[in-house]
Amino acid sequence: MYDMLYNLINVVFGFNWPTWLISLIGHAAVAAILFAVAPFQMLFLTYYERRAIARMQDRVGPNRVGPEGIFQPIADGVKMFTKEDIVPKAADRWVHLIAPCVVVAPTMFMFAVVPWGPGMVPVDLNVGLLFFFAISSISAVGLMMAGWASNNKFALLGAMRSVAQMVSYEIPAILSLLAIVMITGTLSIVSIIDAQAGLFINSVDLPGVPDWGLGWFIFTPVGFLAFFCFFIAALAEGERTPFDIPEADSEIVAGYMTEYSGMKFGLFYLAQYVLNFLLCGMTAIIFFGGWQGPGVNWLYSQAISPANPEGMWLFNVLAGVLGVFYFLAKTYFFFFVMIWIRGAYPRLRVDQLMDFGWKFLIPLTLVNMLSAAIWVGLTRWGAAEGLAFIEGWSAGVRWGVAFALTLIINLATYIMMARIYAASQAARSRLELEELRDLAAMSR
Amino acid sequence: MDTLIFIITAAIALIGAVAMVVARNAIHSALFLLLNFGAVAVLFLLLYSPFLFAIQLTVYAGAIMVLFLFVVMLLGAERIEDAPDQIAWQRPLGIGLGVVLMLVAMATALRASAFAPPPGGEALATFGDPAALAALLFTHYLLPFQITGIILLVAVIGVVVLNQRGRHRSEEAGREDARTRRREDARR
Repeated sequence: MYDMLYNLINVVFGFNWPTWLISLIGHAAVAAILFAVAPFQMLFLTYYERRAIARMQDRVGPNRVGPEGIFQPIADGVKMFTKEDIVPKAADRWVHLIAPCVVVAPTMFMFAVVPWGPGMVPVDLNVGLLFFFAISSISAVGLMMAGWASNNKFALLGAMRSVAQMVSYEIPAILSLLAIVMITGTLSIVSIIDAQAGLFINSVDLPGVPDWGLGWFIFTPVGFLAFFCFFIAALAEGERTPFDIPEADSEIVAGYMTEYSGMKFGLFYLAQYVLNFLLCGMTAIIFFGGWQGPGVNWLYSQAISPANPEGMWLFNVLAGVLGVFYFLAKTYFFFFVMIWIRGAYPRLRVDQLMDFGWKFLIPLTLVNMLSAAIWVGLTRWGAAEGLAFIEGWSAGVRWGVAFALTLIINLATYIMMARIYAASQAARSRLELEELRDLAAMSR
Repeated sequence: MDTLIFIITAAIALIGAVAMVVARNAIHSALFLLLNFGAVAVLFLLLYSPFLFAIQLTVYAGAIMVLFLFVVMLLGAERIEDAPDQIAWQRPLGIGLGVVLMLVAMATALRASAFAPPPGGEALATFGDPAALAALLFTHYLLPFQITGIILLVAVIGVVVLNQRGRHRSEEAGREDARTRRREDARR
């Protein structure tokens, strides 16, 4: 963006503006684009979710406003804007007002490190992944402010539930990403995507693999288990069914949103959908290669880039369009999976949620980190790191041994953990049943 | 440009700090402290250290402040400051010590030529890089790092033990209570 603006302003028009002004304009333009994109994603996702869930429940869904109901979200937005804004008399006015902003701002901020296509990233931080999750932990404070400031028991309970849930499920999410970070050796999101070129086998692990942009981490045992844990944790972070406990409307009305109306309520809604979009996007980026796909890397190699300044601008456009298409297709697919789960599963109880996170997901991700270490040792290390016995092996053999070993470890751990967890849950429900029987016998 | 951002951020940090001390409501204090932490995080970003920025946000803003807020809200202790001070000499002593600290800090700042960078102060190319930081942690500062890890582990085990003991007792008591109550109900 900076180079483009510099060329346009100082070379083409010859204004000779100072560099800081150009970089400021560039960042402002990128920020403006992102701020426009985020609400549109939310508008589309609400429509998409309502139509998809309607199909699953054998209904039609919104189909009146515009062709096939495509303008329904805009009508809803207008409704939100014109609704009366009610603040409870006993509420803490300022905190009540600021809370929705504290929830929305971090989700917008997170767009700063999300790459949309080859060379299309607002900021390529060397700690991009950490930045993403550091920022996302701020919105927990906003939820808490909303729950407390409303001065309502249901709101406070909802806030407590959602914060407990977010804090617990951040751990498996980050631990499962850590396995990928160990393999790639970088925290930059752009480098993680670049490491996923190849065809089923990563071209970093096995040089010479044809580059179809399909060397995704999902095709390795470590990546698959990490994806499994991360996606479940993402459901909990985004408060999707079966983890929508904080806003379980049959128990605590609408949780922390109970006392909000009008556009403030709309902001919570916006934050939630944008967060879900970002979490689906992150799943696509980390485990499914983001914009990687057949053809993108070839197109981008012909385009103007830091590595190849002599390229054609047309290929920039083509690579960008194809990359964004792949990225959005993957992201919307994962959002569809979220809707699918919503259509299929009932809500968990709070204690089941905590048990599942702490006693099942976290041990699984810890073992997965061990597998990641084995993977790195077998595919990357040599005599210098004390693994002299693998010096003679070819890259293919190394990859095969690493694949088999991590597959065995991960599969065995999963089966063992699942059996232990199922047994403990069964024992627990047996106890609960006994207590119920006790109760029934007493009352008779 | 950097100076402008620095002035704005520093002003926000100072306002947050002062407001945190002045605010009567514990929740407001915690939120102002959060504002201060956020501003300090941005200062780290200005110093070309995105890693410290992210860590500051996760650890202080994300974890510690959420814990503070959780405890204060759970106990409903947000209005405890309204009670009159128990120790009368606490406030003047605090103000006096604060003034002394400010004077010492000012003297140090004025004695050293504060506006010139220290000799050899140019940053390395890998400055603030997580890999460089991790390499230092695992070589030069390995012992402190390991000791911190062990302390945290002990804390975690302690929490589990305390929680287990407390729960056993209360659960037993609770169950007995419920049984006797039910029996009495049935008799009636």
